[in-house]
Amino acid sequence: MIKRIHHINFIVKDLDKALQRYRVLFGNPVGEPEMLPQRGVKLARFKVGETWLILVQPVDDEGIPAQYLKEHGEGFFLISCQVDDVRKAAKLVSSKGIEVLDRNPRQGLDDWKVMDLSPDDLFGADFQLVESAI
Amino acid sequence: MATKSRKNQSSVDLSRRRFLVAGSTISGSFLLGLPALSLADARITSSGDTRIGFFINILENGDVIIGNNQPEIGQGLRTTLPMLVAEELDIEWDKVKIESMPLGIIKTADGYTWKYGGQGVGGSTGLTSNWTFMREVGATARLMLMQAAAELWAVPLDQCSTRPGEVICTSAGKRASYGELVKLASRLTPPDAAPPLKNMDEYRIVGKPQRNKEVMDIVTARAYYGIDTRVPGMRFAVIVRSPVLNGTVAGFDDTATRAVNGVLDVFKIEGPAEGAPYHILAHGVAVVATSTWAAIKGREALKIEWEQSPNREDSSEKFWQQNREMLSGQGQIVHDQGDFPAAIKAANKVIRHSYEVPFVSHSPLEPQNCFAWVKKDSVHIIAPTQMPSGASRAANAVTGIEREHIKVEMTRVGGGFGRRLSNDYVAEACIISKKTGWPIKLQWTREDDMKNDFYRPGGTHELAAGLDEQGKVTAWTQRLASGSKYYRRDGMKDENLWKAELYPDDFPQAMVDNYRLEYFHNTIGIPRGSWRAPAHTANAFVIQSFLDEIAHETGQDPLALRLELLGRVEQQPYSSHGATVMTPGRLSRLLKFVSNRIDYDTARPKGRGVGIATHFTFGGYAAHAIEVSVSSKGKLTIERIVAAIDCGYAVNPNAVEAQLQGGTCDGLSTALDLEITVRDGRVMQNNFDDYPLMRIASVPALFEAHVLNYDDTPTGVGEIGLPSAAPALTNAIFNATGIRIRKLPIADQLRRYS
Repeated sequence: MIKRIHHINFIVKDLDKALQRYRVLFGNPVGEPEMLPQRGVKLARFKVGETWLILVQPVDDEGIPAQYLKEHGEGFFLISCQVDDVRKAAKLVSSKGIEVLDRNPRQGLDDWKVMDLSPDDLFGADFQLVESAI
Repeated sequence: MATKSRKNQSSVDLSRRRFLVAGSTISGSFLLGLPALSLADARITSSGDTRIGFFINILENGDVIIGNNQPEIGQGLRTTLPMLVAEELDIEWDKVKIESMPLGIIKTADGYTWKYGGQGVGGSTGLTSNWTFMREVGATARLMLMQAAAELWAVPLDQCSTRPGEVICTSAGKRASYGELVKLASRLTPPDAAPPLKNMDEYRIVGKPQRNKEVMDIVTARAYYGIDTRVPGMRFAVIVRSPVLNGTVAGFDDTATRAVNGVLDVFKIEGPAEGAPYHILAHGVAVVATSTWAAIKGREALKIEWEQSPNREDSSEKFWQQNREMLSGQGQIVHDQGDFPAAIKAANKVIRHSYEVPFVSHSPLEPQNCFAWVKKDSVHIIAPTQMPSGASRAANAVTGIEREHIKVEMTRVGGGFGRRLSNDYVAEACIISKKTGWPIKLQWTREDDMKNDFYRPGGTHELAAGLDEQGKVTAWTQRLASGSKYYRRDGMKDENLWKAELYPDDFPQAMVDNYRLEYFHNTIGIPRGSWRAPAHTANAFVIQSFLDEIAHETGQDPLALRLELLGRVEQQPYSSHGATVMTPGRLSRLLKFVSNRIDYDTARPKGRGVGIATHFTFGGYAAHAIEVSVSSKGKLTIERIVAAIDCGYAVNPNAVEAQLQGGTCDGLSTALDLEITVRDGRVMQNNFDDYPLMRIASVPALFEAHVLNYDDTPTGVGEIGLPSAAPALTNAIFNATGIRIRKLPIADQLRRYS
């Protein structure tokens, strides 16, 4: 069902500062930093092999990323796993006891359709399913 | 004995409108009933029809079979009503067996009247309309058994009394079981009027928690639902209904269908004309076969060409947009007290918010089904229905056969919720049976049921309140744009459409001097109907949400604000269904109770919160307090529920508790995830995968359902448990997160920004 690790998100307080350090490891990010207003975040992404590495800075205090940052501090946010059909995959994992937090897929970057899995059912780890052509 | 008994009956004073009928069965047992009958009914009585009005069957071994005249839709009436009879009859409850009675109607010169008393359940009236009647049935039978004993022992009647299952005469040192007295009692002339009823403090059965008599059958799959009906020689039918609202059949190719093994016949079903009242829901094509499976396979092979429907461009998006547009203008002022415009203008502060409540499906676990056999001069129906008399009328309308020749048997109903107030599926079964001449079992699939329903109307509510310097509410308005469920009703005038959606007497009308209700009707084509606690579910959500918004925006405590409003009036007249007065203090009592139980005043950490709500309807009072947690990922967990109901007097506290639990779950389930949407004139939902009812795992272990008696008058309980559940939940979410839910269902709204 899962084809590959599609992207890994890290949450940061200051995207500009974080980019300076991450450039040392991964070179220049792909494109300019982007705003994703429906999710209350600003982000930048690197391509590492076949996987995207994304730095996420919350810009809306009410948003869940901001709350997550407050509770957990900076660092790992989530791993997103690519599937062919996110609804079908969600139904399958749900039937096997892993709760899917979203009723419907949410729109991520580009054409990404994402659905989050409950960390309660994955020993505290944050995983996501993503359907994407790229 | 039977002849003598009939003779006695004919001697009864025929001028009485209520009298008792006695007779004996073939087995020699004793049957009693106390039906409300007209003079014309007495003619039938004297003709010796022993089935009239028979509720009690005392077997000679002491067992007692009590007839239940009402549909059983899960509300427990098949236990609760016989409890009333058993209490007054004075028998041991474990001696009682229950028998379901068919529809009983009698033709008179004035039209049809009831044979076994009114039959039908809707509007939470099943118990209240039989509360006195059923006790009188039991008390009258007890009196006649004592009369029989007095005659047998040659002692005065007033020296006889009863102990459970037997008559005793202490002065004569005599005792006899009901079973021993039954033959003698059956020969007696029934009393002129029902004897006095017991004092409530003497009750041994009523008012005590009694286990549902059918629970073992239900959990062991022995309970008989409509879907279980099997009659020798019957055929099976399914229907393809127009997928587009109000679509019609242009033509069809049934070649492949008829090639399916078992398929017997295929033909068109005419639905109602555009805009006409519904007798069935849709135009379509019926497939009749030797099994349900063959009929379904045949249906899948059918090729149908549909005419363009006038509703082919209906959509949910359009509906909500039209509502917003209508609300920007002036609607029909349907209630106006005080001087609302002046009061809102003079207010120190005005608060306005809009809310959206979606269309929802009834989704009973048992999809619609009906057995019908239309013969030349008679019809036999076996159906899960809330309104057997409606089934009789539906059958009459499509067959032309007189209702006195239409037999309607009721099975246990696998979920009513108002869906089975309509008997469209009975009409469909009759149409198919009439056309083929066969006994027909019509079966809807889950998908048929989801896509063809009389849905709860969706609507957009705009509320505004004016407040004075102290934050007291001085003006209130509710403006509603919705698709009224009274749409397409026979003889319904447009100016009365609002009456199904707004209730002028509802809280807080009596508490606010300047109060206005305004209505806008949306003509969307989706069928609408009564859904458990009808418009109360929407109105309780918006009113109880809005109160919390007022409290938040004025720095008041939500409980204190409610108690202040409720404390303004001691008692108010109530003209809507189910009561003549409303006592706000009863709501206050429940609110305080649930708030206390859930530790309302205790501060909670971020992400955790408590919400409260209350509502009055159909004579009953309820309140909910709900505690939730919302994780940083937006995951909602209902941590604790405290629900309380005041239904006056709980006849069977177990059943009331079950209704409160069920109503609460129904309300929460609907608020969490349920919505029917329309696109291109089609209902988009199919089954429980895209219409996900709440699962048992989502119900917290900490779920208290309290039954608080108030007086000695029971009210209905089937619906009151539902309306305040949703706003208590969304108020708790706000308390936990600061996110205000103004549109139902909640669905992914807590996943914002994730």
